[in-house]
Amino acid sequence: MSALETLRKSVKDPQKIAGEAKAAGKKVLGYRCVFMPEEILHAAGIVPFPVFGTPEAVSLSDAYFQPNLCEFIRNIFDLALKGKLDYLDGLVLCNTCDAVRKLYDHWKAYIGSPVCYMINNPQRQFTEAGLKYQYQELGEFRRAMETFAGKPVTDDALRDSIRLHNQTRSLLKQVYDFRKPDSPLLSGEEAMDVVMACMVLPKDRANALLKQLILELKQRANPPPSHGPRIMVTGSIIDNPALIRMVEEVGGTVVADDLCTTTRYFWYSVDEGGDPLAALARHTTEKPVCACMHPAEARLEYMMDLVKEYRVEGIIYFNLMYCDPFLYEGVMFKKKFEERGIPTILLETEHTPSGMGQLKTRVQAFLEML
Amino acid sequence: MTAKELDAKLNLQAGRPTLKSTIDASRARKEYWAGVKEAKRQGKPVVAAFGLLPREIWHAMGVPVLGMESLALQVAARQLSGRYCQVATEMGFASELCALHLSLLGIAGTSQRDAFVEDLLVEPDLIVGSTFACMSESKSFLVWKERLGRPCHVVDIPINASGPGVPGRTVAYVAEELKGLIAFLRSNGFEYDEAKLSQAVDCSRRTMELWTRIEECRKAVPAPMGAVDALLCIGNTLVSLLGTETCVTLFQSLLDEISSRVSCRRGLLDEERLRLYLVGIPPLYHLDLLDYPAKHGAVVVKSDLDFFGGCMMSPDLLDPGRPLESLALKQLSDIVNPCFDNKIENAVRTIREYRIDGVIGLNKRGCRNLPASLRLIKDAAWKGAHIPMAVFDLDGIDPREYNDALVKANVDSFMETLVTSRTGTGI
Repeated sequence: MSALETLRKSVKDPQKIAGEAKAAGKKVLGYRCVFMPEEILHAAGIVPFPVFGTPEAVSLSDAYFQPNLCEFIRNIFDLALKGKLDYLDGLVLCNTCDAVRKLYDHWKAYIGSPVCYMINNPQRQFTEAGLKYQYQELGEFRRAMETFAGKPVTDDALRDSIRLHNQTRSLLKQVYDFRKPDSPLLSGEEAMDVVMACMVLPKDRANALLKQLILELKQRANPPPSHGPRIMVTGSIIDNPALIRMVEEVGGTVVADDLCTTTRYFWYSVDEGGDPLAALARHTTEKPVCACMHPAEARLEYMMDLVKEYRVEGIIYFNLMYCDPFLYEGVMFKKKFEERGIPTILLETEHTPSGMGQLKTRVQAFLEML
Repeated sequence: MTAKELDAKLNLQAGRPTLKSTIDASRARKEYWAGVKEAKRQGKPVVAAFGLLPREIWHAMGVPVLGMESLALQVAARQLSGRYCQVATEMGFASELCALHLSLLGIAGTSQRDAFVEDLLVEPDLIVGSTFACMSESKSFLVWKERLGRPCHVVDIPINASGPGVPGRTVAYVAEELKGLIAFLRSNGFEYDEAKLSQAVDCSRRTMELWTRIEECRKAVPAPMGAVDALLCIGNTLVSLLGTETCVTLFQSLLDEISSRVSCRRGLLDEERLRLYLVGIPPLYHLDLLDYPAKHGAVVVKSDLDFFGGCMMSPDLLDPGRPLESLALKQLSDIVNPCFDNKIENAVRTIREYRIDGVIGLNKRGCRNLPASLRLIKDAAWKGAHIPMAVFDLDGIDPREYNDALVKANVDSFMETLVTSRTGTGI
């Protein structure tokens, strides 16, 4: 099996990977989101596992949350209530959006796993006060994980872990380079699968597969079809490639993406010199990838860099219903992108894939306009 | 029972204040807003402030502030929000966003404003936004910033994920953020004198001490003060005037008035059968709903909005000698700070101390924060005090989907259940 096939296969059943780690006697902590420093868990010998939703409709969770709360978060809580996340020893969250904060409250009250931890990270980035505070927050988190793991997290272990995770980031960036040519060698759907696989796989395994994938892509004889306009997909979390597949099926060439399950995860590396905890704190406070954070201008510049680097001709901005940060940002950024000559369409979607036909028609019309 | 008969039965007119202090508080709020307009006329820069940041800083530095949430609440009370929410959706914003913020976006997005709004609004020279306390607060001010192109400063307030024991590092970080706000205001021509800030914090401490005594009086049976007075009197003053001598004076007269009612056992109802606790934002455009349960001999004796402005914390924790740390702690202890450990505890304590018979929770459509606490409070109320809670869908800001008959039918049904369970005999 090729590396691409192996990676894509592993993301089809991520729970299996976590389940295997658990069965092997490891402690497994679920987490959300890209601001959670996996390196600290890894250095403590804990398996960090990014919790995704499933296409399953929400049921039990509706008795706890109002239906006008992010369906992605309701979906995760639903899985937990149904016992489908029982392989987790707990959950680690970061201070991002309202829905994540509510998940924290409810997980603590109703799920009762050994760990439910909120990293209370600052939301104003690029400030010295924020950096200092985040350093303290991560120090506290490190101590909590040491207690949970029953072993110290040494600076050396943290440095090793940072190097390992940086290698994943660097290899993923190399893989993304194959999307830059006029005819990209990797489709948007494939790219998303690759990143999500690297999020769930042990990093040494992921890195080996990525190295093999890079060799395969250099010689790829049958690249995906790419006749349509070069598109960047952005917006709320997408943890199911169906939307990207749909864009590609109707003729868009998805060459770039700014999502929690793609570039936001790996775009910025952690400094490998000096105090490793300080490097992790700097990484999270200087990574302008999320609409929950300030200043918005930094995020806009990061996105414009992606637009230039991947020669994007149009942006599709998928907003999950009730995802407030992106619902506000989408309207403001659409104007900004269009002022810079990049046509942008805002589309509102549900987490459970439905209404795809209507979305398809709108995407088609947008692509024709381009 | 007709509305007229109902009024005759009550010592009140539904939806109207019953206390002189409430009328004084409304007057003080109007004077405050008129003062902002006058400051603008005199050429002082006016700040549009989002995120319910410590009012003490504004007062200490003499900053004329348009409190944007206060503006939206006043617009809602005039039943005008729907129109501005509609404008915002025409601007491209999703209709399921918070109506309070949608109405502010709509006000920013149109020049065709009602006379009432025009009368309140002055064009701000500076924008201060905040990450406190929800994503709508954290994002909507950016639209004003874009529209007006004015200098803008953002204050970051993390969540309080630790309940009553807020970690020192979080308090220190918020104090640093408040220092940043002061630096921004100074760079725009306002003067800072720490002694004045200490005085403002001292005013807040005295206000909160009075508040604590007022709350003790409110626990009396029959209830001397209902939710309408609390919302208009306490809400009006805490939103705009906390940190001023005016606020202290208003709270002192409120305490005097309430104490006198308690000493002569004068309540809102002659015969009080049920005592209710309200969680969420009531329909500001239909405050009469707050007095509607009187039909069943029930009084809304307490609302969680009364805890607004840091009133869940002990006044002793406000130290005028350490004004910024005190304000940081107050901000982190505010009822609207997300995460519910301390709120749940507070709700159960309130239910016990106010001898509550039932809790009404209001699910505001566009809010991701408060409604998500309702199940937690409902379970805590039942487990901790064996008190039932009913939850109604009701947007307190946007009147467009409000169905008075349906809401009142739901209230009737809940009241009947409470009476039945209390007497064991039914109605």
